[in-house]
Amino acid sequence: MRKKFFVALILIGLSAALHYGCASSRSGSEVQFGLWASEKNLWDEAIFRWKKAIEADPKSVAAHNNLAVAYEQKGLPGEALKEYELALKIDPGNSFVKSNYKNCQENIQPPQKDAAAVKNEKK
Amino acid sequence: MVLAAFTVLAGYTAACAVEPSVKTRVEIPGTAAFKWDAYKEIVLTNFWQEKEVKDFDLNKALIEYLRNEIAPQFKGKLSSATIAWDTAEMLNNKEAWKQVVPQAQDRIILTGKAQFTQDLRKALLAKDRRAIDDGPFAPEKAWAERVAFTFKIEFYLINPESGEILLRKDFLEAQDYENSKEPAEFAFSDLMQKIKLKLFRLFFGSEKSQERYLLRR
Repeated sequence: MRKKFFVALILIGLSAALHYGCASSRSGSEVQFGLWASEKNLWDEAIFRWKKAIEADPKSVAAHNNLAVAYEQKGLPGEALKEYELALKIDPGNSFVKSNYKNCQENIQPPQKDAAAVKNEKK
Repeated sequence: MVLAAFTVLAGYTAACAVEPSVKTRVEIPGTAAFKWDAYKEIVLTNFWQEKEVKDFDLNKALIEYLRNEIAPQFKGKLSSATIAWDTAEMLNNKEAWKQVVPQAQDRIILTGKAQFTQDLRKALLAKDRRAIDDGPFAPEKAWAERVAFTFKIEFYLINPESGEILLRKDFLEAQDYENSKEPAEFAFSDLMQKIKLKLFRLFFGSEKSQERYLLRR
């Protein structure tokens, strides 16, 4: 009887820990919702969800990274860079964020122009 | 009971053990290298051709193509002018360009050099004789013909008021066709499509598709 009680207790403990750690946090569910929205090409909804995820957990690397991707999609590379930088501040070794950040930076660099094109811009 | 505990544990572990990221493609809006808002009209001219292409009017096809493709991107008017080219050096002759468009204000000339070539190539290829390779026959070889098209083009944007070159960009594309009688029109269309993607990215900042990682948690 006592043995069964301990096993049940361990079982409940494990379930609770895994459930909490896996996906039940508010931030986590907003991140998931945002992913679903992005798959459907609903980038405004995804931005809304990932912003909410950041409100719930400002240290969510996923929320900052995903929000940055959405900003790139919306043509806001400056905002995207800021979000990538925040994500890298939290997790500097994250290879996925580093890769996204590098590609985003490359896009921001101005295209190669002839001297004449620069003159035209001044017009 | 212990078995049940392991089952639950395994279930949760599996649920959590999904890939940490998901790849997605994003359409990144590009940055145009040229400010088109400053102009009300683009004057398209015939391009300088070093050598005419047999049975194919390159300039006609090129102007028609550019006109159709630029029209949806440019808010202003598109017009054409025919240049009597003497040499390719005319591209650097400011005085000549000043005379192409009578009312030059707010207008820009799109012109350049184009070279479209076609070569017939022959190669000795082995025919597939695997079915009888074990027998006394040696693999058969035959001459195969391929036609190769090369398109070299230089685009110039010229200010007709000053005759000054504002932007210059060159492209080189080539493609082989198994059909040695491939019409030049079709090859032009294939090659021009490749050039257009690069040219419009520069001119109008066309979107480019890139890969990004979205994180699951």
